[in-house]
Amino acid sequence: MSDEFEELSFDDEEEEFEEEEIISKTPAKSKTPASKKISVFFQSTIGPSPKQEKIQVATDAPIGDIKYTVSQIFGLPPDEFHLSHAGRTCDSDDTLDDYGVEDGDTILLIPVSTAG
Amino acid sequence: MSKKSDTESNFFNEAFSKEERTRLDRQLRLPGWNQKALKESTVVIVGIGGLGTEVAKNLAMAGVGTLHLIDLDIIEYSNLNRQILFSDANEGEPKSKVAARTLKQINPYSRYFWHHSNLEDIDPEIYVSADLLISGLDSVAARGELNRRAVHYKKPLIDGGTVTYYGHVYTYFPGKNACLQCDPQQERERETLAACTLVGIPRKRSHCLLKGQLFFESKHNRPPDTSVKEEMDIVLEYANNLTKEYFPQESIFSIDEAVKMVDQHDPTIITINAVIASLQSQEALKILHHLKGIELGSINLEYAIYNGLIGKFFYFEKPPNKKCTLCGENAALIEKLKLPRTTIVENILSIIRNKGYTYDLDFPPSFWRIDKKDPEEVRMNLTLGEQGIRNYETFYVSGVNKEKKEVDLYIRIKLI
Repeated sequence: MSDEFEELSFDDEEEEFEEEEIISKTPAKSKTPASKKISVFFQSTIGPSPKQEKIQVATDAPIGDIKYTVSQIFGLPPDEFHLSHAGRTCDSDDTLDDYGVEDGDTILLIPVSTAG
Repeated sequence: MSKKSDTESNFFNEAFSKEERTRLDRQLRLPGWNQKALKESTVVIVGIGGLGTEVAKNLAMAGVGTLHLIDLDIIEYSNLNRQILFSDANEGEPKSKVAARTLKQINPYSRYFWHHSNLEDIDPEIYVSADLLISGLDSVAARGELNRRAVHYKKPLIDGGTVTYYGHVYTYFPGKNACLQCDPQQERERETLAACTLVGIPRKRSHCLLKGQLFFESKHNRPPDTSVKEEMDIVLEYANNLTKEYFPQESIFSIDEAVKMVDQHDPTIITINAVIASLQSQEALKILHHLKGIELGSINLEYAIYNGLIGKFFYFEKPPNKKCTLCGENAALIEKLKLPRTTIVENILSIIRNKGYTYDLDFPPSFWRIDKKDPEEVRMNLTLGEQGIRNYETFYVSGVNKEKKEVDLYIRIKLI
């Protein structure tokens, strides 16, 4: 992994204790200030085994960078999924702040299902 | 004279012949089912490929009365692993035409209209006549075009899509959830070789294969035929020599990998298509009942993802986007005008002025016909009839203001 992704760290230990949080997540009312690090649950809908990982991310990091890190952790090529938060597909050039992602939120890895 | 109870009966309804009733017998027994409601329904299916053929087959067998089948493609032999309606067709025949022909054999009691065309050029009246639109499309741009019509004509739109072992189904129901423009789908990022890389050294493993492809093209003045092993071997040898030189740590390309990367056809399989198309069809049957005031359960307004590798579904909500340019708070306005064919287009300007729109007199607004593959500027000095404006056509108007703000405006014409 290259240096520009150093802010994104994979937090394995806390994972099983955080399971409850996903089910009963209540988004905070205040908007997360820029440059803040938050913990986000990434959940795959694609791939041969369902997976959920808690990952610490910077809210002002380009989503393209986050996507790359997520692809490494999930073992899925980055061009095979989009990140989706609260019904919005995240653009690689945007940041999590642009989508109002907050600590404890879930982001889905969704398939690029455009074929008919 | 028929009694009211006869018109409501599935089994003794005069809308159906005895043969048709017998054919449909088992589904007439479904709780809450209303066959007449389906018989009187019109569905437009756009894209008659892996999904569209399956949806058309399902809706025809279920007895939906009128189906419009829209597709600009012709049949290729490689369609036959999944597109059941084309089994006895010849390569090169229009998909929509063959689909209509086969459906007539499957259920002769419904009507099938085929349109060998892109969806943009289709007569707007066909979309207006529909109760429901179904997308079996394979591009994001085409979905956007269909979505614009769904939003403007207030028609539910059931979208489906697949990729490898996955698929999605999403129903846009006007006023209830996000339209497709609220959260535009994104294309897969495809690997292309920039001109500067062409001469330089390959920076990525994938560049080696692209260079192999270019090597073939430079020798033969055409792309390699991925179905000819000898041609792919030429690409592969060149690509793997580069791979060994520049990426010794990485694996060389296999011939299958090379084929997939060169022709870039979407990998697709009947099982995933059938799952997604069946979900679309089942939602369609419920919506067609719903639109006639009959509730069969409830319509799924969530985005559903199917992962065939693990046999599981995932769902999430798609709330409308307030910033959507098509259905959001500041979306382009739409004015519906009833006009005779003899109306000179210039006269529409005074009508929109009366509706509170203003414009710079030195730069009067221009009107564009957008129910066309290539938008065309409307001639201001001719009548609607003279330039073949069709019923329910929409014009995009640029250069008008409302309440001192520049606005996007659509005008929809109803000819009288």
